[in-house]
Amino acid sequence: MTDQANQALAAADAPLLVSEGLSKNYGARIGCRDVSLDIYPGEVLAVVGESGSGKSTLLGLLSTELAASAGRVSYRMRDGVLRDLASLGAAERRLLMRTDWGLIRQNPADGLRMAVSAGGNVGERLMAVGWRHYGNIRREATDWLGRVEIAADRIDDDPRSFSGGMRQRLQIARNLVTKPRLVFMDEPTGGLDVSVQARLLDLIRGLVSEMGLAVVIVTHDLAVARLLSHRMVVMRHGRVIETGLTDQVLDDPREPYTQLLVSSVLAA
Amino acid sequence: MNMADKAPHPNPLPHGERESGAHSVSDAPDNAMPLTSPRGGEVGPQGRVRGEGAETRGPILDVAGVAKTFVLHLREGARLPVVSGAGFDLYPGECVALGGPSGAGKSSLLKMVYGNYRIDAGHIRVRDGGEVVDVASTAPRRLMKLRATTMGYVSQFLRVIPRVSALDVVAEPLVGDGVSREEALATAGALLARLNLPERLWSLPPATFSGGEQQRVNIARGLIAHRPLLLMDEPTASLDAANRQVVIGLIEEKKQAGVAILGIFHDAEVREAVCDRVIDVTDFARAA
Repeated sequence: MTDQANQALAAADAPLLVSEGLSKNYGARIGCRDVSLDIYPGEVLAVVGESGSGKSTLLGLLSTELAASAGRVSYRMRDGVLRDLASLGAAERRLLMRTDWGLIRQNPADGLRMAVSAGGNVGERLMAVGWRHYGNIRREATDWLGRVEIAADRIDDDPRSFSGGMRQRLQIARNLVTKPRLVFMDEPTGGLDVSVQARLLDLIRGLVSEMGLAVVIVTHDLAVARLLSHRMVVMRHGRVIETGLTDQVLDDPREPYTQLLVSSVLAA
Repeated sequence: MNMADKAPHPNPLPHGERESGAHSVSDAPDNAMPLTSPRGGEVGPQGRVRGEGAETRGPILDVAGVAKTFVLHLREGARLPVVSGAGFDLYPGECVALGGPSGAGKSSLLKMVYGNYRIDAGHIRVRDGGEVVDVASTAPRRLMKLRATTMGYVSQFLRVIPRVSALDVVAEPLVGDGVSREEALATAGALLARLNLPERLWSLPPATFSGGEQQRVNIARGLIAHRPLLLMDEPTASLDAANRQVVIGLIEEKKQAGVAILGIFHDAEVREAVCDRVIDVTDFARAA
């Protein structure tokens, strides 16, 4: 009965991103070992673990920023066909990254063009997908600045004059303006004050559910994972050691390492 | 992958035999409710006979042979047995209390049914429309869907989300069901008004609310949408008498609508008002 139900479900919505046996070695050192996982439309997957556990390497492999030593990543293109990303040409992959995907980096300076105005940072992605009319671009950029709670009169300022929290919100606007289906986030709230974090988390949470985004979020902060994610994978020494619904893994951790992680934080 | 296949079955008795034990009156001080058998169609405590239609459709929840032991790896692998051989059924339109003293595993069992705690053996089958889903072995995504449409959980404490208003916290499940935001907010407001939450609080995030105010927000959130199976962990623990009566009324309405409720009700007044029978968890704990 259950298998039939699962099959029916699988037919109804197919995975967006699939990784199979993904591994990455840095010389003799293992970055990531044999990771297989699926991400479905509208689903937020948290990847947690301590520094050096391989979670950032995994994010790099999934987003094809890093080349895998073994295994593969496939993505369901807008035409519904699941394609091995290694088989795409460089131009095709670039187009995918700036239209259908977003990548939010921990340090906004790495994801923004710091010498370009806020409006330009958002508008650039629109131009990349073919927008040409200046008025429309500016209107859309203004709308997006509003959605990430940046005042419209800051549109011509460049992000060097923005606070850390504002920069991160601008990076989110820049990534979401093209209505991607999949967004990778690498410690998006790392390095921000707690009050700034709360505002950002609330914003991300709202946009993710409103836009039905699929998200892979790497974080060492279990409270962030609890708030944002549906499912969770725990990594250690480059391997996935435990998976499940986020509340299962946090409330009933099974592996010794997961129990250590969960018991090491103040109540999340 | 069925978890039941991995661990030896701790209780050799078949489900039917376990069940008679599960329903027996025990010496638990908590156990004030008359016991009835859902299969026998006996008269409930308020003189109601359980719906015939409900019985022919079978249980909405079927728990059998459930065993759970926590293994504490940070404490030299200490083992904390919770339950073993836990089994019972729940039918549409009935409210059943988990009984037994503190520490008997009532909350844990409720969390297992919700899939929050994973189990070592047995099955937890929930009827979801025309399908039956085993919470213990189904894919995480299927469990997410089950929780979104069929199985609701009213926890004891509200998990506060920064910056989200009480009204939005309550309306969220309806919005998730596809109801328009305006309609969802209106329904949320009506429910909060019924629970006597002052209107000036509605637009505020509940972080600064009192325990009783937070619990009312939590109850409203848990009851606003229709879910055929509701799990409730001490829904009235921090409420005054007037608000307890409101919650009793809300639970009655859910039962009339055919909702099956499994809950922990320490408050005798509430338990006697809404529960049709008590399942004594002590037996499952003793076996563990």
